[in-house]
Amino acid sequence: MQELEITITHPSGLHLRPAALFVQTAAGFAADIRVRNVSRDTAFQNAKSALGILMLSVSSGHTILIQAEGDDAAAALATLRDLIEKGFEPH
Amino acid sequence: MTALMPVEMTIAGIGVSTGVAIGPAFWFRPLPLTIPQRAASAPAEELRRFLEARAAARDEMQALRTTTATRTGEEAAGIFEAQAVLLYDPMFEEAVAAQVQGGLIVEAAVQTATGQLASLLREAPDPLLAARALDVEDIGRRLLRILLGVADTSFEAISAPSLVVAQDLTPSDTARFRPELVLGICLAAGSVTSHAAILARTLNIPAVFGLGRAALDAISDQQMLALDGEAGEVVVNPSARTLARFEAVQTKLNARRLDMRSIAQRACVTVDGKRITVSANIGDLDSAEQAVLAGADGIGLLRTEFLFMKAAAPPDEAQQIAVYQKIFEMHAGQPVIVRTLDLGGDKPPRFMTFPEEANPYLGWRGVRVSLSRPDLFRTQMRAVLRAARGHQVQVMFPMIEGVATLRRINALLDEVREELTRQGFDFPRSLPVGAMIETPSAAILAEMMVDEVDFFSIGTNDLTQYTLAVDRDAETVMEYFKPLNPAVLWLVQRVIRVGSTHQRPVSVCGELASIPTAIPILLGMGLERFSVVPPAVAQTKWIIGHFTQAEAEQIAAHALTLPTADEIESFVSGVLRERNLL
Repeated sequence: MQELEITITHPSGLHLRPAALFVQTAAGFAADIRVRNVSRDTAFQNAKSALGILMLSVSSGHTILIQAEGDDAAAALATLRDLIEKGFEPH
Repeated sequence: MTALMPVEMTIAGIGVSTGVAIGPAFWFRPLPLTIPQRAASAPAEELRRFLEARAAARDEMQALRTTTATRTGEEAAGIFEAQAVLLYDPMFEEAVAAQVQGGLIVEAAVQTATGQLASLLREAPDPLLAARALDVEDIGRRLLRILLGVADTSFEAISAPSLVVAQDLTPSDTARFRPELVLGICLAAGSVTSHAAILARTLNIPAVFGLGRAALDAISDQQMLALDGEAGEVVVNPSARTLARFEAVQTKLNARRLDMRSIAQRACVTVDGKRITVSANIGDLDSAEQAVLAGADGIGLLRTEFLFMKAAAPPDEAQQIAVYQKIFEMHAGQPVIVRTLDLGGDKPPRFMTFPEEANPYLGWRGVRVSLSRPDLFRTQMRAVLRAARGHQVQVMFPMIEGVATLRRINALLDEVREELTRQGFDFPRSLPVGAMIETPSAAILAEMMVDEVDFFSIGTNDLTQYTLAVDRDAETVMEYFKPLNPAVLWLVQRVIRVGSTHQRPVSVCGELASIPTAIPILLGMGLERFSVVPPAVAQTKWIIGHFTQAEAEQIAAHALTLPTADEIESFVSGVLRERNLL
């Protein structure tokens, strides 16, 4: 299992477009990916579920923990990290 | 026999879409969907029915998306796409599957899962999530209807134009609307950013939300209502006097709307026949299309940054040509003024790193970037010139602060022209080139620039910031940013005079051109070219069309004697109100 802890700095937090992009990106990998909002101490949600991500209520400045398990886990985390660090601008 | 007069009652809510509506109430109640009493089949079978219904729901949403886009527009149609994503959310499927595994029939499973998810969303602290709860419920109902084989007939009972009264309206509910039968909308709940709100505004249906269930329950079907979407109130059983009041407002608003609509598509002339050009400011293909529909006389400002902001690499010549050509063709026969790349440190593009600057607005931006990055400038100018073949295209440079800069960028453009000529390309040789007047220095030096340009375009937004030394976005100094500031008006007048003396067309493409109280002043100063956002084209033409040039001159002359923006604003507001233009 691989994990990544990262802070969301996008002004929308993980809502609206960033949330949609996050979910879309995660859905492109076979690995099981889950994520929780560390700043709000929430439970894990399925990273491929838009509803799940919304429920984490990630605002700008919150830190999230992403865990991935499976063959492409490393690639998944790397891609998600890239997406978040680039401010959610789509490729 | 005297009947008891029903009592007039006013209910306050939140005005969501302006306008006045008077008519009978139509209570919209969602169809009751009864879960059948039947024995559960094997979970796998129940789940299979869910998956089937889900696919059918997606097809329905796709169809709704298409019809809504045609009837109402892309913004309103987008909700069905967002709903389709939620429909296929793994969490939703898991919730239904869990219920089915627990022995429920699929209809009950869908109802329970929907309820659970909707509650969860409503409990979340974020108000945006509460709005999504309505979408989840909408999806749940659609699935249930499909599973039960029930057609949606909830709006069929509406036989005459009525004011719809409801607890709330889901996107699916509004999709069944026949706009000609919906005079107004009164909701007990309803969020101002909801799909229903967007729809009401797009279709110009007056609407008031947040009236509260208790108040609405007091309204019976067919009861007379008067609604004011601006004030955010609904009057039940309006008295004759109240009705007269509402009707007067309604008549005035209707007349104004019809007037504007018919004027938008025609050429704009003052009362004494002076032709005034009202063009549009656009920044992408969508707004280019809107400008056509809005009746713009051309494009006064084509912002080109949209091609450069999100791309990983700047677009090449061929890519740019394709886009410019599309826009030029949409406006064939009309002038289109292209602004060269106007990038800045405040909003840097993805493909380029901008230096850290203490004052990006005073820093490396606009034409300065083009001069440092001639490669970008050349590619863009090659593309614009080549695409301009057969069209009336003009080019203008942003952020000009003086003659030297103007000469340098003109020289660069000349090089591009020479290169294209050498390579045998066909392009408009005498394409007009202009300078944007957005810095105080440019406004002051305008007369010295007349030999370097074919026209001027005043960007009043930035001109106001730089002249008043106020950041328009800073809350701390918002009160100082006043578009009708006498200093700015004085500079604008100066440029218009220079233009007139030296026969250089002058246009105003900043927000000032669309501010109702500024329009008579600009007209009176001699401005003949306004460029405004597409939605403002109709109103701008409409206001201009109510003045003679002489009247406008008098208004401008008096306005320019007033020392404060508030006094100027107040004076012209009075004039506009007298003529029923405000």
